[in-house]
Amino acid sequence: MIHISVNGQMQMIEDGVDPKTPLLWVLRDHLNLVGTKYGCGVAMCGACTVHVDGKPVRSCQLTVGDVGTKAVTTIEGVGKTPIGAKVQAAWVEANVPQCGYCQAGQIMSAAALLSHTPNPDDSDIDAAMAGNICRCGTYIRIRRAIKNAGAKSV
Amino acid sequence: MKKVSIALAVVVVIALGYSGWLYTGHNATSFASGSTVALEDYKAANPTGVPAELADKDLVTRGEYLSHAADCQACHTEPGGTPFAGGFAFNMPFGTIYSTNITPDKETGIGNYTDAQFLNAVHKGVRANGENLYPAMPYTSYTLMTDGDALAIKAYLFSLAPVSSPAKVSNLKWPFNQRGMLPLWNVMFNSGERFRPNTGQSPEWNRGAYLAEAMGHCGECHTPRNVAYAVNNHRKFAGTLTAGWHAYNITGDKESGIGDWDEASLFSYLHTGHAEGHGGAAGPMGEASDNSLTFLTEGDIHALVTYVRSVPARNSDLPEKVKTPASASHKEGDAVAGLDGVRGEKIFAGACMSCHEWTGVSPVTHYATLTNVRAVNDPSGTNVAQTVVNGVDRQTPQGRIYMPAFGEGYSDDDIAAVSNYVTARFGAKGATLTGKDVADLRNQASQKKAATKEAPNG
Amino acid sequence: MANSKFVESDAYFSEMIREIRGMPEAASSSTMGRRTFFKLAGAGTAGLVLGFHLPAMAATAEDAKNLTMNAFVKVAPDNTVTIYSKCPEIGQGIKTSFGLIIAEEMDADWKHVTVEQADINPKVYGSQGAGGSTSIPRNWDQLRQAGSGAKAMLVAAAAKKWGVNAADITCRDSVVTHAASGKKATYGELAMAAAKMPVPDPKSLKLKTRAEYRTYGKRNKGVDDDKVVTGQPLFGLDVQRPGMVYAHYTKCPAAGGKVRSFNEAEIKALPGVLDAFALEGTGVPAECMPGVAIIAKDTWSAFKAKDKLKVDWDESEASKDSTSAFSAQAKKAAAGAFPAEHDDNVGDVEASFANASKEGNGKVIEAYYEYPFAAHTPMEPMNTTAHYRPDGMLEMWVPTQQPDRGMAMMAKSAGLKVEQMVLHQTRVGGGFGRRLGNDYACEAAAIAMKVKAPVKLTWTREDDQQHDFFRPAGYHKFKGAVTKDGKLDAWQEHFITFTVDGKKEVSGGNLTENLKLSTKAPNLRRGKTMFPLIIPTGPWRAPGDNAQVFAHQGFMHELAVAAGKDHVQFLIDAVNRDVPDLAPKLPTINFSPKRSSDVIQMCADKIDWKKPRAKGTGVGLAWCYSHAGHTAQAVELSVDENKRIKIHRIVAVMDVGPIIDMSGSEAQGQGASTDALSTAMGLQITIENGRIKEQNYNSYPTLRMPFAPMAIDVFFIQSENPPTGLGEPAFPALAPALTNAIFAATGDRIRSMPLRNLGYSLAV
Ligand code: FES
Ligand code: FES
Repeated sequence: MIHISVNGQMQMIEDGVDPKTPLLWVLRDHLNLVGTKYGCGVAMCGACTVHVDGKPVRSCQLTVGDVGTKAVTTIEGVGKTPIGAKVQAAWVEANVPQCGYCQAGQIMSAAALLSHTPNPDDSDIDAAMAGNICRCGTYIRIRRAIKNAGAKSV
Repeated sequence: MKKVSIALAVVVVIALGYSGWLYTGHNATSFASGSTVALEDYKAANPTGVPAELADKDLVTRGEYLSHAADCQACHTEPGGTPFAGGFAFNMPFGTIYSTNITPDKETGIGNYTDAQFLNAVHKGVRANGENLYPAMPYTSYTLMTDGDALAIKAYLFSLAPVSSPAKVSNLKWPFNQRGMLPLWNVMFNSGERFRPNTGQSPEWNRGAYLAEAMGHCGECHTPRNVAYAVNNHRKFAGTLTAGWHAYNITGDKESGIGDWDEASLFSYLHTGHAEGHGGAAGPMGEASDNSLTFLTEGDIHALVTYVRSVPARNSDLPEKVKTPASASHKEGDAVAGLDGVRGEKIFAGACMSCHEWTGVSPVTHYATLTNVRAVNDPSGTNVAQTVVNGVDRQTPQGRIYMPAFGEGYSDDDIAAVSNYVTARFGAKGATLTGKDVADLRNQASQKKAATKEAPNG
Repeated sequence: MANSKFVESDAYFSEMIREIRGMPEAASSSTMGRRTFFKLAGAGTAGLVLGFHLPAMAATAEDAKNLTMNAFVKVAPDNTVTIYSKCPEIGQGIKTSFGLIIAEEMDADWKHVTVEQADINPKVYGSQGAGGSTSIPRNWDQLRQAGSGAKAMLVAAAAKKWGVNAADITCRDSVVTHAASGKKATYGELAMAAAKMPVPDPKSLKLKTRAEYRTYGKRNKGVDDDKVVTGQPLFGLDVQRPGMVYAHYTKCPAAGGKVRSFNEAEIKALPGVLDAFALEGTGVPAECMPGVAIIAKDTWSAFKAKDKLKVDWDESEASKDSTSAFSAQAKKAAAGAFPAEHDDNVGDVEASFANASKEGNGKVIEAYYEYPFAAHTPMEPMNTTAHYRPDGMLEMWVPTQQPDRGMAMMAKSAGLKVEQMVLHQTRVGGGFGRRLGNDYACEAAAIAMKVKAPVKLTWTREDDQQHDFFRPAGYHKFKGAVTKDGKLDAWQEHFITFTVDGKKEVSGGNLTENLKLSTKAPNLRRGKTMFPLIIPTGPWRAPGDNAQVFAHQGFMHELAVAAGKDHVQFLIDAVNRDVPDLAPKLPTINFSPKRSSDVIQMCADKIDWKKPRAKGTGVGLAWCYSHAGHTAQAVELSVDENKRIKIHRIVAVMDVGPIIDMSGSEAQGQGASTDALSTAMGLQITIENGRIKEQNYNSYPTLRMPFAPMAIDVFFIQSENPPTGLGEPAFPALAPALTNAIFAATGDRIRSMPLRNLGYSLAV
């Protein structure tokens, strides 16, 4: 049986789940954590981004068997961290979401960025966010929200 | 008048190539110490045929194994087409030729071939109708194959469903379209000899030699060719550009070859097409891996490792690989100078970083780690660019290895920029590809993937 | 040879485009008169719950009982006001706007308002689609009446309680005040009493005037932003039901292929697979096409099994379409004679050409424009959850743009009656017109009938890209004349498009009425050629306009250049030309030369049109009348020697009437401009032997952050007109503004999209 730590809780993955199953589908279909989104399945869109030991990782590519003892944080749990909460607040403040489907992934990428670069410049933002597609075109507000979140100390 | 002088030049070139080839290049295994004997005089073990595990299987099963060992399918199958029905394009500097249908179809395949005719094709490159095959068919390697093994392959091919698939018309420039010149070429470059074991080497080495030379024809891609397009064994396995991809130096040279690979890594690479810490096979090697090597028994892979490691080290001006990951910050580390460096970085950030990370160490799968990978440490950037264009899509016994192909969505300029960036950031020295170079590489690559190949999730 | 079921499907989409592009004011006013309010039965302790009653589709008492949650407004004793948003939220911000409209009209305190998604019940709500930027114009009156009616009942309750005249009572921020007596009560305190008041006649209500609006045009947050940023389950893909199983559905990669057989035993034996079966479907692309369903215990098992699926397809009637062949054919057709039959014919183009080509009399120019097929690719792949319940009802959770009309198709695909359907509208992860079709929901409905459990169907991204209703490619051969004083004199257009039935253009492939109204030349002639097409097409953000405006506004610029006229002046002159034959035939059409000129002029001012610019830098402008909105867009950019385009600034000026929510409106303007840039630069769908080549984002390079423009300024002219929608009008004029700017910067005239095929790319 596979055990993984998600949002600070140890989760047992039921028997019969192939360890090669991408973390994305285990979160969504087995742990009812549907905030993490499926967009492309090939690491091209970023909708499925979660944190693994604090780093942004595409959960459509990481198999549940490869998670091991690392701590997984999803959009449902990131608000419990000061940086995550700050990013979420900045997102609401800037009214970023349009359809909103990409935004969980965007927020996870942004929170990871701010955790190692508290005051990111444009180049940092490009480097961290280029892998997240927003089909609705909310990029201007995403950039603004990240800068606003960065400007506020935790 | 012009044609005659070109023909004359060709003859001269072939003659020149021949003399050089005679000197050291003609015998694939002459590098090894010890003396060779005829197969029937070799008593230590039988280096030919199928491994012991399969010895008591029927002829067709044995032939199937051997057809994998000889990697017939890769070249005789059009992407997306029926296996062995031919139509695969070889884009060569002097034109395009297509592989033929080797299913037992009587009209368009080899259904009417007698054993003797089949052996003639395999050993001598001569068709049933007497026409000469182009040496894209590796008969100068297959000539080492025993009659028994070749006929087992024939039995296997004849067990397949016949497919009607007429030959595509080759399109070669003059004088290469003159098949009449091939007998001359064959006299000079095809030894016409069966495999001769070496009594000074171990049975395992001899098995490896047979697999590598008579069956797998490794040298056809990994050994540079001379001016007359014949493999030049005095640079045996030292690496060369084949079909737009760099077939790397697989001699024991520490810097440019595989001298720093341990036994286990080599075994893993040959067995699965991937070795942790060294990267994985893509392009033609990926195909060789998926269609041929992954079908071989572990014993045969060990034999191949033994043989390959005995080939003398040859330096091939590839730099030593960088073995440490790049910085976690995109702002630190080697980058390409100028505007296109920034462009390469931004493209990498959007299309590549998710899997390969700024460090080059993948957070999702070791298949995607770039550190210490030969292609990334090749300052020509050839295989990096090809991989970006064509992606990787391999079915291995361990599962599917997939990287999207960016060739349709990204311009030549952008692929050049990102390839230069990747080689600079993660490798020994940045490539200096231009968009034009990438366009050329695209043209040289043997054939595009089928149009509607689906990604692994869908 | 046209397949009748493909014709049926195409007609559905064509009709939808007509409807959504159509006449917003007419749509709402025609039904207004027949509508009355009703209070909902059984709402006793809930407070005041108010809905509408349409006599034409009389809701029964039974309906009303079930409709507690289906009203527009609910005022609870705890002073919370709940507003039910009847249309799908697809990213256009409608849930926020609808809430604001009702709250404004009833003077509710926005802080105490929550907005909920209404379920689907056309009997109560009327049309519930979201498409064509019509949600606001269509529902403007109805929503205001809902707010006003609720307020009237609260006021009536207060008047009765206090024994005062209702006319002396005022409302503000959910508080009712009688100024003379100083009496005050909150809406919550009055809710129970208000529920007992007679419902007012909608015609008796006095709606607020412009001067009385207090909340419109302010910047609000999205009503669901908090939920979106914390990952709450809102979207179709997020639906979870007890005992749910997961499905994938494989259709023929070439549209129209049928299943002969598949490796059923092998698939059923795969790990996690619960069942596998082929469906014939209805054979209509907008409904359920033939395919193979795989049911599994989770999505991944279904996807994995699908990798192993081998289907023997009967492709005898399947698409063999090829985009490269279309391009070649079109070029040939364009070079040939002008079609003998004319779609429009005003004045005498031949005479104008003859005259203008005489030395010193003017100029005649010709040009050929083309653009490719395009996919919608909303970020949320198509999906639906469906449960055929033991009680014989089919309950469905669908991320759709067109639930009310889709319902009948879903029922048909399941072999049920519409009365057996219960439809829940989920939030939608992007529409762009894709979800006006409900094919995925129809598939889920058909699958659910064979599965004894709730089942969630999920398409892969690759499914999404290959089984789309594409924006059709188009080809325009223009010939135009300008007079010697620099005025547009003749416009001739040979439009090459596609047809399914051999008679009409495919859906999205007809020259839009918008362009016919706004292209004003005294001599004008249009004709068309149609190629047969099987690949299904459909509405795509600003259908027709999204690409046709590129061709039209590009050629318009060419004419201005040929005329030696300032482009802005040329456009203003042209749109103000009085050509009676081209005037709108219906009074409900709000096309206005004045509003057009105003947006053009303001856009020119905002981009500093006349400012001299360095070599290699240029500014381009274009405009359109689209979806009842008037928009002009301008781009300032520079281009380097490697054809890399640096966008300095984008300006969009729109007149869509009053703005309800400024933040959301600005977001639509910026988002549509970004989308349009992304599409113009890089996106195309190539078809080979009926198969779609671009299957995922690696070959469909949607714009990413480092390349996205960061300076997009959106301005609104808030004219005294009823509001119209703006999900679409900010899309069409961007591409020609871009290419006109490139011409200004480099002299290179761009006549085809995407620009990456011409070697252009966006600079970093
Ligand atoms: S779903 Fe994982 S990156 Fe798109
Ligand atoms: S908000 Fe819709 S995709 Fe980003």
